[in-house]
Amino acid sequence: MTLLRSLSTPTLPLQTARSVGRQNQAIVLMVLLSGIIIGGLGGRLVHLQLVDGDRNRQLAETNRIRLIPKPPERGKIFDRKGRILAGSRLSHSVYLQPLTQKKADWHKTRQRLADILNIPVQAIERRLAEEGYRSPYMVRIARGVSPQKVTALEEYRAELEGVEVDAEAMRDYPHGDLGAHVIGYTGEMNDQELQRRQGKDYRLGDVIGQMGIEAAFEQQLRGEWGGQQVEVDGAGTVLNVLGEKETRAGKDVTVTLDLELQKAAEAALGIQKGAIVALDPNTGAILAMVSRPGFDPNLFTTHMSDEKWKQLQSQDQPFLNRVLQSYPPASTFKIVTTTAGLESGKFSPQTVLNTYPSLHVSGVDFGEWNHAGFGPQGFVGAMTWSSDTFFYQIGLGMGEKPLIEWTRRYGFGQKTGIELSAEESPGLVPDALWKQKQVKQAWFVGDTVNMTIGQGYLEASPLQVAGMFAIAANGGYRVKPHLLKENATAQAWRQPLNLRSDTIRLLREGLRGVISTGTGQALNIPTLPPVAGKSGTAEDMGQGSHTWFGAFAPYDKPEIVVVAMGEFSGGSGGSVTAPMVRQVMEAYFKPKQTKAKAQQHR
Amino acid sequence: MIPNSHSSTSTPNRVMFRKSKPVLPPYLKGLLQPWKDMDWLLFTVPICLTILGGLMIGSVEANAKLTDWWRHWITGSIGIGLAMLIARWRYDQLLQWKWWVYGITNGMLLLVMFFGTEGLGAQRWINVFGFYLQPSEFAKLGIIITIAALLHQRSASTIPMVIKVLTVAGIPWVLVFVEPNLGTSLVFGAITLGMLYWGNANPGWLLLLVSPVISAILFNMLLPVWGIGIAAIALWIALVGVIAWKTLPWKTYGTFAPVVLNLVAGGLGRFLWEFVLKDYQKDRLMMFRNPEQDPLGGGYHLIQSRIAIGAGEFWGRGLYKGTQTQLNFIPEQHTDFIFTAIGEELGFIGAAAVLLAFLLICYRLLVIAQNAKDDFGSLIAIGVFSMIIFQVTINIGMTINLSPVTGIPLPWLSYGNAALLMNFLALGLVESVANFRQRLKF
Repeated sequence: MTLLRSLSTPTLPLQTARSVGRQNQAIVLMVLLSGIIIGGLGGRLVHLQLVDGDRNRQLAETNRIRLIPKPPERGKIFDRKGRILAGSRLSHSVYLQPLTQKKADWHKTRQRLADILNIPVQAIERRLAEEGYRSPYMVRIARGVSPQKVTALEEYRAELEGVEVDAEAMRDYPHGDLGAHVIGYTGEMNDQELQRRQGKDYRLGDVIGQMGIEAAFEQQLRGEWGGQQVEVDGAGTVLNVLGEKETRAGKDVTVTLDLELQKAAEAALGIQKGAIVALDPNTGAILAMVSRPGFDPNLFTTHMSDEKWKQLQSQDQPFLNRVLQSYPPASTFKIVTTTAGLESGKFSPQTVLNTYPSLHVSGVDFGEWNHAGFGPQGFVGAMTWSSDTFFYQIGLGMGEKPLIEWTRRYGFGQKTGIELSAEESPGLVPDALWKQKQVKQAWFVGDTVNMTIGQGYLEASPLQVAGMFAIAANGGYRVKPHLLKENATAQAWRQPLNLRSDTIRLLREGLRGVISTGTGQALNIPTLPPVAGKSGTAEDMGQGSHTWFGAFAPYDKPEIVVVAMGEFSGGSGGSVTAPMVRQVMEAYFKPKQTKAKAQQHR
Repeated sequence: MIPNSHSSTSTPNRVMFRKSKPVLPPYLKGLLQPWKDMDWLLFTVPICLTILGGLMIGSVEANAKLTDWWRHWITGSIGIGLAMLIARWRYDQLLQWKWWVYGITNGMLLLVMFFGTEGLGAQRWINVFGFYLQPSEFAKLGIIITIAALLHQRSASTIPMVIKVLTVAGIPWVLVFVEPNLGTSLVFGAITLGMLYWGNANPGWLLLLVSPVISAILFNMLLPVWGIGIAAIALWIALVGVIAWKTLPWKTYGTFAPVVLNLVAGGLGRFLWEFVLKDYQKDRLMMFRNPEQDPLGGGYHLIQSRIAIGAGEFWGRGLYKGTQTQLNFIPEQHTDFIFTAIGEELGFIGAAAVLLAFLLICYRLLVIAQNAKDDFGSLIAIGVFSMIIFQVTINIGMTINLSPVTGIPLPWLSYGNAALLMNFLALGLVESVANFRQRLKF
């Protein structure tokens, strides 16, 4: 070994060339430094584990730390005049300490709790399972508990270890089902929703906006959680507040809706399945929005019984905001056909065409709605009488290209930009490409003919139709429908369609004619300023037709657009939905006229 | 005089520390010949820590399946193997490769910026054939090697050399900082300062180097306290002036500039704190001082970690028996908060043993630094020392509410493949320094 080693040792002595680490006894300093640092950590351990060990052991052992989260108070929702649409009221919630269920008499506690609160035992277990049995958080198992139940809980306090009652602000909708779809509702979020919002200050059982304004403005409305970390004794009494964080209340939101007009629109639609929307054609501000069937959003703030839920579900999709769903727009769409015909340059403003009982196009008969025709008509007359065969000829003359292009320019086939975009259907503007893909057929002339009168594959939401009427009303500008009163970007958004003045004039005169002599005479009444509008009846095999009526007023200087749509209502737009529009218009203009009269009399 | 510790006949007057050699049967002796002069104590302690780490990770995960604890042992075994290989390989070959090492380090950090996987709000991981690597971990070793090689050529006793080292360390530092990975960038800082000090830089310069940071902290802490606070700040600035006067070559400007710089830094720090930093950012930085202020958020876990360690008392609650650990009250417990589990389940005995183990590692690293045959080896050992002591201090400090939460892992104990592997690579390199400390052997 020695030999081997000496052999392997090079003969050249290696000079230790180390020059570093020599200053000021660096090595001693470094050793001391390590000792001091690690000793310091050790000192802290001595303090935590040996000096304070017993106390820390106790804190850990009995797990005497409780987290009591305090939910923030949700912001209120006001209408444009500051009247409350959604607020809060104080109510009681019942909380449970998850570790309670490890105790021997848990099944008794559980049963008693279920009896008093009138909820199934499984519901309690489910909530605990969701939160995790070991969670340090108190779990809320019931909200909106009545005073009687709170008294009962007090009475059985001895049996209800680990149960706590706390006051909590609950969402309150003072007007019940009024504007339920647009205002929306709040409800506790479930496990899946929580996962989606992980890390955004949400916790299980958190109340969030589930629909409408409540969901769209969740960020502003919700506020910030606060809470306390407390030390408690065996009986759950708070001994010591270890830390506290203030809750931050949510911000109030003021919307463009007008409570009075909303009420009128609710009454106008009555029990008819369908939708009504009213907006300001100059800004896009939505004044009223109704959808039927409806529901009472207050139902969601407390535990909903299964019967109630079943009853709600038995109606045809009560949670659907039909203002934002799409239907064939029917004859209201003749506004777009008129625009496309004139703007394409294929037809002059002086165009007069004969109308017929029916038109034969490539082997198919396309009928006139009155099965007779209206004789020779210009654009204004054709609009007034809603002549189908006139517009068929316009469509045939210009071809599908300009029609589809102008349909898109009017905002169809895309979301309007309203804050409720999550619930909004973009509708459908069919074209050759779409048809090939979806129907596996080429585009036929018949498709163009159908589209001229708003039928066929075309689909539009009442809100999009209202946007179309707004363009005719305001002289050719697309506006952005919006609900937030302070939505400056939406208010400023005005997209000119660059329509010729003749086009605007003919459109407006035609729509005025509908009211003064045509299908919309229901609105030709002295209590209203001059109105312009258009009816629509979308034929639907079997279930009855969808009926439409859209109108704006005053004719010279429009302030309001109202669109009403009856889903499978049967009848015609002029007879079913025109009176609804009239009712809303009357409610809008009545206070103004009385005010004007009062000023005259003075 | 040549230090010659293995030969009993020579006088080891330059050797401050001697270690006893294990007595082995002859056949093993032959087998272990290439590793004959390795520091076995330094090698064994990290292995024990790795074994303990696996056990504790297993305990943390008994109730929360986050990852498989045995992976820690697998990665550890690979690390041990690599360390053994490196230990018999001549470390001074790295001298010629220093710019390669430096280039690869920066290249990987750049790569992670563009192709990295996001995690915990930062670009940190890079996917190499299905393995997630964290280049910032390997970059620690990269800058140790580069700085050691630089200071080997010329020591840091001149200011231009100090500036050169700072510039070289600055590039990977910036790359890590923008990830953003504050924890690792702090480790870089600690490594650089430690190596500069060992590399004969004037301690006054190093103090001046960190003085703006101290000023920023002091201004924020003391300025609101009028009277005594102002006096203390004045005293500190005066001290900076004196140090600058004493240590910098250009007396007038040399004194003036650091004083002004410190006043500006202090003011800027105050401004940042008051007007730029948002409340939640301040909260995060200061949470460890007062975890009670956010009892439902991050503060909750800090309080729980402290209680958990305290509850361990002297003997601990026993493996798998810590209520805080088993109930998963503490987040990231298998990585950054592994010491909490040790404190609770193994008690003061276990926690103190871990501290002693780290102290032992630090001590042996310093011994190797002292006995290395050249500056390069000596500086490598000091770089690794700086890294270990800093990470241990900040990590354990965090679990007992002494330092802020920065996401620095505990060497050999925290779960994390890249960090564990890098720690063993560093160990192997230092063992090579120990192995070749006095002469060429083969």
